[in-house]
Amino acid sequence: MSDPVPAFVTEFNKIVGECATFRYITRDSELQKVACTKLRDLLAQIETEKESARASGNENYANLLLGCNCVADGLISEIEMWLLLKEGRPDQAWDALVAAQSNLSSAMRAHGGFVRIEDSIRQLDALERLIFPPQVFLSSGMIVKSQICSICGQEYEDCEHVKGRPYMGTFCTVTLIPSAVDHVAIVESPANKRCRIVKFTDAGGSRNRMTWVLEPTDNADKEAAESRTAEGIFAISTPSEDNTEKDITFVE
Amino acid sequence: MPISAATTKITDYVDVNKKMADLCCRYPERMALLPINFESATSIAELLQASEAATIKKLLVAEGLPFDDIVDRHQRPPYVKNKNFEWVPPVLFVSASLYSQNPELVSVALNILANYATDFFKGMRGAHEVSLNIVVEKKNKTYKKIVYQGPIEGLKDLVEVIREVGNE
Repeated sequence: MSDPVPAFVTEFNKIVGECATFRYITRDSELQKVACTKLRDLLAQIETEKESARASGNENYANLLLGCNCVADGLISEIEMWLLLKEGRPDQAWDALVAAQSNLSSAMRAHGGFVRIEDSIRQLDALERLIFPPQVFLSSGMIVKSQICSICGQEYEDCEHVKGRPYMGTFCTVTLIPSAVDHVAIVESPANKRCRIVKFTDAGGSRNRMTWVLEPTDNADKEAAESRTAEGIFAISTPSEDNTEKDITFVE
Repeated sequence: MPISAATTKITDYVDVNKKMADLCCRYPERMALLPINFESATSIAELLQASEAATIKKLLVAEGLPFDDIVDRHQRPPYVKNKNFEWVPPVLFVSASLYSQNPELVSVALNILANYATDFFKGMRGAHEVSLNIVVEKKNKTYKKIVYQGPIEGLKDLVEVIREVGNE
């Protein structure tokens, strides 16, 4: 017989179910903002509950709450994506979509109770293809001299934790200590879909790949514009899409 | 989810015993992970390991598999980390004595790799394809490299390929 669902999780499901009503572009923006506030309050409650689970040594429940955290965070990002699109900020909306996808994937890794979330992930993948234009993704290649475990702070190869796995309500991630950047490449499947070309030079200015708006280039930038350059993000300091690695920040 | 076809190629590999001696590394008597540029490196300082090597090693050791490090801790090669989304495991070395005396351990190792790859792709769309290079020491002390590319489910079939290559 399976364990009874804790009262906190029942309440979580109720709030998430109510807020999920607002994951559509047609919903009123003010109501969507109220839903995001409710979800942020829920995140604070999850954190408190997780602390109790940790204090009592209940790792299974702490990891379940980690998954709840990811789901609530993912729902906030999804609703924010619609808000940002309505505000005419598609670059930021893209980042919100990627955050939503990443959070739902992480929920599946946090605890076995989130397997059914795959339908929501598929829905977000469909939104990516239908709403946003195809992106040109970037990937950096690095030589890494050391990897530090987020759980114990030791050199990753020497500890017992496995990146991407949950430990008492926290994912193990590694901080990469690079000794050299080897290359930057255009790839089909980046570790983080936020690493992409955002602008490129075009006749008379710099064109935003998302909006296709041409921003005029001033005289100082003309020489650079003539040499056909692109502006992109190729590494960021937040965890990668699989939530396992953090590294240094480069924006060029 | 799209289903991809598996390909398995078998090629000759450098004399691991001689190369280990040339690079001042320890020859593995059991199971080991080889640096990704093991064949081409001319000194121990040039060696580079796959970024997943640390994880794969700890998973194999945690299951009690007989594992040998080829260098001391202070000589560990740096890792190559490509920030694209692909599962790039290190080169797995299987000694002749291991697969002849304990073939089931090779099966356990491949299961561990398959389970880890499954976790890696959880919640990610697209074809979940992996590539894995395995270097097998033959009974006559020559070496073959098995290059597998295909779905995760196909990894388990490599046990038989390793056995056949090892006994050639």
